[in-house]
Amino acid sequence: MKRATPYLVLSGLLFAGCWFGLFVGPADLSPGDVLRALWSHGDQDVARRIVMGLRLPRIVAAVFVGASLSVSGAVFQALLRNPLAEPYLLGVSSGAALAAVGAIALGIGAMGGMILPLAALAGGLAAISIVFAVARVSDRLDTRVLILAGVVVSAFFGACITLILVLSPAQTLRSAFFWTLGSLSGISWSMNAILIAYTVPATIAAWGLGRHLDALALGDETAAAVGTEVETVKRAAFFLASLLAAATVSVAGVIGFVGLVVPHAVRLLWGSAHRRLIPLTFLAGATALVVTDAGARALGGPVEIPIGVVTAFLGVPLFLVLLRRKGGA
Amino acid sequence: MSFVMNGVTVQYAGAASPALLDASLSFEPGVHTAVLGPNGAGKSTLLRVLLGLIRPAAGEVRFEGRPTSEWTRREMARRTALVSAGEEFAFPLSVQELVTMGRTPHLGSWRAERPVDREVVRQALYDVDLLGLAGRPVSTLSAGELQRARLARALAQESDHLLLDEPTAHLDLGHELATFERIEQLTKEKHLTTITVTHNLNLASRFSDRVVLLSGGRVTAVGEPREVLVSERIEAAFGCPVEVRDLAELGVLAVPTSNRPET
Repeated sequence: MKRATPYLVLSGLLFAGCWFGLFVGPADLSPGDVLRALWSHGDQDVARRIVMGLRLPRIVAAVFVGASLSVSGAVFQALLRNPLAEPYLLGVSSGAALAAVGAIALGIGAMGGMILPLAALAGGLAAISIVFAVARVSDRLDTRVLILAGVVVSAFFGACITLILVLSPAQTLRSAFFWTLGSLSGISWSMNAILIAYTVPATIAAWGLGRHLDALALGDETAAAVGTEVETVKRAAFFLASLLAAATVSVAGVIGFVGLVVPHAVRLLWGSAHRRLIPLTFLAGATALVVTDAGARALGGPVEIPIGVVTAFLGVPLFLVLLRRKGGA
Repeated sequence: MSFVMNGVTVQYAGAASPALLDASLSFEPGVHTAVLGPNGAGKSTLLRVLLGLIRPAAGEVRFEGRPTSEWTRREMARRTALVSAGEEFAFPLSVQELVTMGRTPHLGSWRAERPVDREVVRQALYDVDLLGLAGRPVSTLSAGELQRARLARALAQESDHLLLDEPTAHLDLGHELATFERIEQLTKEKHLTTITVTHNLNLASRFSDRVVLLSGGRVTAVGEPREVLVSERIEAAFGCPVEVRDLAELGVLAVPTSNRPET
């Protein structure tokens, strides 16, 4: 089946990437150790603790962070009718980062493993609500106002973060650094559970919007004329895309370019129809981040390069190649 | 009656005067109505308010006996199709994909395309003579082909009401004629209620059964093309002197003479 080919190719790559990721890391484990760890039972086994407690949760996080960022980017691009939109454009990341940095500075961040992600999620959702309230002009969601509101709210939160950092001791600076660069290390199974609980239903809902997102790309009037409840769909798209982005920022900080490049690449390769684009983007985004993270761990050696830096180094040249090859949108 | 509007006034926020003022009109199946008038006369507003895309400040619009505000967009899209004046293409799209969008009201959010949907899309492409271009990106089409593709999308909705907003804008003479012929033919064959906003008085008089003349938001004349398209009425609506010639089966030709004061 020709239609199924991209799904099969991406699923195969994703599976291979996950499998590869299990075998790389700073701990010197042989492939045999890793395989044994996967099927052993005792908690005393060091190899098992590394594989099941560190590597596997990291891979799962990479899958869902990459997938969610990409789906979020695809939905934002459709909503804003702008192929350059990305998940962090409308202030989600700055809200989440401000809440996280604030929690770190106040000392409550160190109180428990789940405090920071939850604070960041709340901060992201608060930022979304502010942007939404600002952009709602006479019961309609004006996408141009939405972009402006997002940029302004981001700038304000960015200033707040800088102020907190300037007034903080060096120790706080280091942990706060994480939120602005992004990292997949230290993500626990419970953080993964939150991530999945938010992102899987949001992705399915976004998939259901697919046909309406296609229509929205042609303008509000045409969308309404083919049966789309324009304002309802816009609101749903805005909240779903924001929720997906907020959930990823809350566990992994800000990881750039995935949400911009992946939907773009999928569009160029397999077309813009969102009912196909969204599931394909989910798979492609997961694959991209899993492979990037595993590759960076394999090549980086003892020093962990923040994943956001790696995605930028890979994403920018890839994006330029794609742009030049097909002449853009 | 398909559409009935009673004393409809539309006021856009921030606009000095209403876009439509106390308009009362009705439209029936099998009749092709042309809506004429100068820029800003309220022609596009008329289409929008008929479809319930905007709400009137006063008056009432009924579609098939029910106020338009009671229709959901999906119900409305199964019965009415709009070819709007302008459309942006934010992302690359094939002709097939563009026309398949017309199936949205029949498929809803979750249902996958069925063979019947593909057949309807194929037929719509056939009706506008675009079957051979189904796989082409929309961005590579000529203005005439794009207009036909948008008409095919409207046909794919299988609705019995067809509303067109300047369907021949940017088209050359031959394509303009072909579009009007096609609209007229579809109206009769499928017994559609067709409403066409246009600036081509000549083709409107030749291919429509009824003409609505708008000026400054008011309906200034309604009736058979030859009754409405007389020089006094056209001059009053468009604010420029015209000479009108009756070309028998070729319709009525209205030619602007001069805006300059006579010396």
